[in-house]
Amino acid sequence: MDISQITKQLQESISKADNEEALQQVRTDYLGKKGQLTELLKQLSRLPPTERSSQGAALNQLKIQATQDINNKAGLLSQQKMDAELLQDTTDISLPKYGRERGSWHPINTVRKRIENIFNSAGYETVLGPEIETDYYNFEALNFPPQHPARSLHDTFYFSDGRLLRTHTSTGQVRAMETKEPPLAIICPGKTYRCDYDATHSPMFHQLEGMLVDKDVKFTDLKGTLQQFINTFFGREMQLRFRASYFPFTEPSAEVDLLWEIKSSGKKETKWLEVLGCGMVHPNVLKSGNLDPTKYSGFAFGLGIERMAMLYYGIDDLRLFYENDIRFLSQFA
Amino acid sequence: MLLSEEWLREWINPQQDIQQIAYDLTQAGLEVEKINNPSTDHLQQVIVAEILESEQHPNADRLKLCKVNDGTQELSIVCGAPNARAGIKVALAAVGTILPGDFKIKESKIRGSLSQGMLCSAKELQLSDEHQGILELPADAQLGKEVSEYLKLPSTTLDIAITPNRGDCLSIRGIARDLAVLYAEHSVKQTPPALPQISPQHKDELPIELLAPESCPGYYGRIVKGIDLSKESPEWMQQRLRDSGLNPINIAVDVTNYVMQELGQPLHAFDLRRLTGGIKVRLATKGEELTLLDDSVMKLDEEVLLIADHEKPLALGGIMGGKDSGIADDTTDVFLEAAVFNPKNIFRTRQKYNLSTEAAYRFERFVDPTLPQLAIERATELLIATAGGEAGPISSGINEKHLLSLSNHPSLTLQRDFIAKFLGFSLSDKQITSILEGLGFTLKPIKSQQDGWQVAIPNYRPDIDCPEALCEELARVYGYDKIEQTLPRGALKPQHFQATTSTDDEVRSFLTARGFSEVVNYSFISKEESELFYPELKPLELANPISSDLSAMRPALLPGLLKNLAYNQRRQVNACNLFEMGLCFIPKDKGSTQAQDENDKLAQNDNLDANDNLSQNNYLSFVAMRPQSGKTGKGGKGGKASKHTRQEYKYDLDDLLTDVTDMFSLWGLKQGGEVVFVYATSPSTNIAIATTIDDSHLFHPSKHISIIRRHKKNHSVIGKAGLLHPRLLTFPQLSKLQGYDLYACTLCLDDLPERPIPAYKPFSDLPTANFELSLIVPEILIYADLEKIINKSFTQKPDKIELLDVYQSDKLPAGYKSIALLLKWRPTDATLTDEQVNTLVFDMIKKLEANHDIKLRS
Repeated sequence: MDISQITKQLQESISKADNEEALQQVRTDYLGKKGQLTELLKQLSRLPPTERSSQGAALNQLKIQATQDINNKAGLLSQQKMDAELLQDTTDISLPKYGRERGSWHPINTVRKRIENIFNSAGYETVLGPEIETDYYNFEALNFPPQHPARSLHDTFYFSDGRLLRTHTSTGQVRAMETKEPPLAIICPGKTYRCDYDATHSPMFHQLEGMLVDKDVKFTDLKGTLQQFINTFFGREMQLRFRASYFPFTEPSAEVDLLWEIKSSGKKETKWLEVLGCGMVHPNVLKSGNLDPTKYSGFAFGLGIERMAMLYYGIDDLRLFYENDIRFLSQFA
Repeated sequence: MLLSEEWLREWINPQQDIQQIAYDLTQAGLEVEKINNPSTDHLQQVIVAEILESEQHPNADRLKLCKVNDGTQELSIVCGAPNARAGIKVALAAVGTILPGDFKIKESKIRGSLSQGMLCSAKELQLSDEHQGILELPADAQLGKEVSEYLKLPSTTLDIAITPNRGDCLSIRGIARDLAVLYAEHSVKQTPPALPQISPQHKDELPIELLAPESCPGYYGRIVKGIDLSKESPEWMQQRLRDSGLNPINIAVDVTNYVMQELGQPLHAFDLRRLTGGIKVRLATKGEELTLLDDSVMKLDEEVLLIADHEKPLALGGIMGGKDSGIADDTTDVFLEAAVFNPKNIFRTRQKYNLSTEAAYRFERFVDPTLPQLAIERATELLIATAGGEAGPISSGINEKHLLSLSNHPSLTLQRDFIAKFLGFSLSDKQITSILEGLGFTLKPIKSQQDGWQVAIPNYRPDIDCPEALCEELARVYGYDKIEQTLPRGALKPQHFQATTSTDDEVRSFLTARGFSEVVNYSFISKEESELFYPELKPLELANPISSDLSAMRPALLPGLLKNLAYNQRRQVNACNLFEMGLCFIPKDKGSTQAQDENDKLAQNDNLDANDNLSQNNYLSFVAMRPQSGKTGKGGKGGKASKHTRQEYKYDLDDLLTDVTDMFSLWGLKQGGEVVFVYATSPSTNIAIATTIDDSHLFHPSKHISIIRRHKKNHSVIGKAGLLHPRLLTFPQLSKLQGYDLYACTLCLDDLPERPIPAYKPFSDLPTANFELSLIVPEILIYADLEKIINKSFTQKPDKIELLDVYQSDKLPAGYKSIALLLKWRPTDATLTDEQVNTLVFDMIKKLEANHDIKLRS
């Protein structure tokens, strides 16, 4: 029998063997003591010397190949056998999972953090301040003289000793100037309080104050900075409108409106929404912070975190933030 | 302020429509919050008619039967108005007309008589509140025409939020002045009505004495005699007042209100009969009383400014008139007053007595001190024109020094370079001068190192007190929206970010990963609630809370969190994990702040710093609510529920303490190291001082720990964790939580360090030396204490002790349990040999058996 015929037979037998026993039989038939290949190798010595070496080499090659092929097939069969057994072990992995669900950050803090990250990355340092404040840091140092009608813009909670709950995070301005040197770039997030309570006002709310004081800070820088911030926050180019306003601690002062798209009864409408107040730090405020207004200038801005969160998430009722209903909170996990 | 478009256009009439004007005013800082468009559509169907005959209705005393001509036909109409009489022109709503309120006029029979339409009152046409009689139209009104042609219709009005710095814009005149500058490039000119001087027709006047010149440095008055107040003010004046949100009252009062709205100067009219001697402008004496126009009786202090005569107080200067000296129906002679008041005095009195009037609102925002005479002339003119009478001379009391200090504002130097440097854009000299001069500033060029102007400030702009304020005027008139955007240029330097916010946020991430959701509660709770949870503590109370529910500053986060659990439980939530972080407020020196407050009430302590005699520290609390074991047969040591069974996931004391232990790694702290748990049942060691509020009474007496922070010198309790005391469930607000286990951790975060950088320690690949050991210990001995005892009893203590097993059985002596431990020694230079370990353990056990009730289990 010639070698190519044996090779062909062998390959057929291996591929036909579909279980370990059958494969073992193939192994015996060809490679066993009385196997075909073994027999042929035994008969080599009877061949003439000229044929012996070439025939010998070919047979040996075939033996090595056959051993390897049978071993490979054995590996494959054992794998298939294992898989077949494993397949018998069924579990319904589609059953609903009742594990420990992830909790959620309060949306106010998620948004606060988002704003903080934007300003931190631009070099603004986060500072914090007390919520029970003195009249000085909340009003007087910010150029609200005593008995000035601007104070009636803030419905202030007082304690009987004259201290108050801060009405804005602008209290961070002079506190920061007292401890830091220009160039001074800070943000001051936190809780603020006003005696105002209805569907659109909460006696406690959150603000984030920002301030940059350096040499040659200009009004146009304020516009640019806030535009960049708003674009980054919403992740797209937004349209802002700056208009003149009044805060005792900034001069010039501006309110900033954001052009917002509202879908009402299927129709898209745009509306200007007030999102923040800002301005150039008033020279009297720089003086309160022991800085020379002829040397330094700066800008400051304050934004309402609830308002930003309402826009960011499409929340339409301010009161939801403080009800702490798990059906609300869990939406922000 | 409500601004009537019709009135404004008398003073300045730009081509822009009202929407554009509103937009431009808003951009320039006069924010229009709302445009009110009164609807007059319903008037289109109402026509002029004439009453031809009017006779008594045969079947009704109060009704009349009228024959009416509408220009094309004669109609029969039943009318109840007392003024329905033959010969007058009236407003007819014919059959088919729909009046406001979807009121359709139909032909009907009223008490048996045919009525083919309705004769309307001003109220029915929504022109005013007047409903006493039907509207009478001018005699020359043409029959059949729309009545709107003969009526003074309500004007479109702008609701403008004037900021406190712009008292000068609380008038038609002031807004017209700003608008003229905004529209200067359109060459829009102001067209104010002529304001004539009235020449006196008699010589009577009242002497005026200024006895409090600092509070009132200028007072002007004039007697007008022989006026007739029996008529109402003319319709156009009433309509303008109504448009401005002012109620017409009588001619004298209407005229003063009209001039206030027009020029910005509040005036007052006294009934001359009630004045004795002359005017004294003085401070009140303590306890002096005055009945105001609104019938309220004021008990005054010595800082209140009064307008008085020689016998009695007449009015609260600049705020409100007195009842007794006010205009009456039969008043014929009046004394018109206009004065200059110090805004601070007005502010103080208004605040103290909680008064709010149009006059005070304007005076505290500053009224141009040069206005009073002009205002009196204007008021006299209008009064005489509508009510007749004869004017006397204007008498005055003036204190030059104080008047000047109120009316003159220091001039400012405006450098040309500064404008560009500060605003970031340049304006031409022409733009600068035309804007500022248009607003009433006077510019004088200066030549010095830096060119610019010396700017004189008009009397009515005390808010312009620095060059930056002038820049704002330039910018707002130029238009904020036209200003370009730039980014700040400066040295970039990395910032050291305060660790508190970032560590707080790491805590948030940790707890949310562990299944807790964050809440935000108000920082105030009710006083009762505070006292219920913390009876030992006198809470910090607000002087002016919004309600008693929100009157005390929270001393801790727990009351709020438990209320959140109850809130969610009422909404069918059975298991809930919540946390909150935020400031809590605790008076230092228990209760003494309140006592001290009493002393300080009169002299408020200006030197009080934000943190004096109180602490406002940052706290963290987390809570977990689970139905009590047994109620749901939930998993645990007994039967184990499949995790696919719909039920609340397990959370128990072990889970809580695991969360607490793991959390401390956020600060680089290890339990047993810088932070120590003291178990409620451990013998008290009294090593720690409580720096936070003591809340151990809120926890189950045995199932909680105190969290101690170890410092070099002293140790402090920084928190608690454990099962809450079942007693809390008897609190009314928590009654719904009966049947639930509540777990809580409270922690003061301010006492925790910034996370240190871990210092690398080399480790060895050599195996640890291990020893397994079973001990028989008293049942009451807790593991934490056993570990301590073992550590103390070793000459070379193991690096780690692991618990293998706690075993309780009847095979053990009663009152004892068995604890199996694995002791591990980390190799340093060489691993300990078995003999070395055996010796160590043997020595240790000898000490245990000698000194403690502990034995080796054989």
